[in-house]
Amino acid sequence: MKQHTTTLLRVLFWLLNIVIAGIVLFALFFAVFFFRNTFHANIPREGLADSFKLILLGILIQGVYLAGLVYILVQVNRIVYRILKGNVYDDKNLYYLRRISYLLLLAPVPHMIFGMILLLGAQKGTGFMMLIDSLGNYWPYCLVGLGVLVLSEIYKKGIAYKRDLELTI
Amino acid sequence: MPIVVNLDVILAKRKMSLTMLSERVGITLANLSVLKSGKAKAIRFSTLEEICKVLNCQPADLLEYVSEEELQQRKLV
Repeated sequence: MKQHTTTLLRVLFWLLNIVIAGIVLFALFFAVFFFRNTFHANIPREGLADSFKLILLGILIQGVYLAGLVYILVQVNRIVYRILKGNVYDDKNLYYLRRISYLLLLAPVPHMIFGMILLLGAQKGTGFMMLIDSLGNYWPYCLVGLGVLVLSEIYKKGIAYKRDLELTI
Repeated sequence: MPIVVNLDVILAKRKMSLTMLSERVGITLANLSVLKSGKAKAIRFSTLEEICKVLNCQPADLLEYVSEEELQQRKLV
């Protein structure tokens, strides 16, 4: 591998590490801040109880998306690390790529589940809107997921070609 | 694979070891071992030429086409 490629990959690796750590710290800070304010502020409990479950569900869904984002970044980081170590044509990289594509394809699912919960509960209108929103807002993620899946198939062919080339005497 | 490499037979006929062949041909022992065990996917003409030159044989002596059924029968025997 060329020197500048290695340097670029190293920078990318550390940048990803910093971004992952930043997201995790931000999420933890937000969670602590929210729960401290919710449980210690002088808000009347009666008013809070009506919307509290909804807020909690909303935060839970944001948490799921943040966890998904962190997981995808960790997979990308693993791929970069393996390439840096010289394992470019590797089955593990292919698995990581596939994981990323499946996660991206499943992006609308948590939002849809949230919408379904609301639809089955009292807030049918909001639930229906959220279901429509999940399909309308998350299709680019599905498209990217499909793209990554196609990319992983091309990568698989590349690995097979490389193996054949290695077995050419 | 229906193409069988008879390198071991030729080596036995010539009373030559794989190490000796690798030294004379200039191919690593690992690569020759892959070729001998039939795991190789392809062989370059230049490699074939070198092996034939050293072993004083024809490419047909090294490579043989065997149908899948015959291959299965050989394995059973």
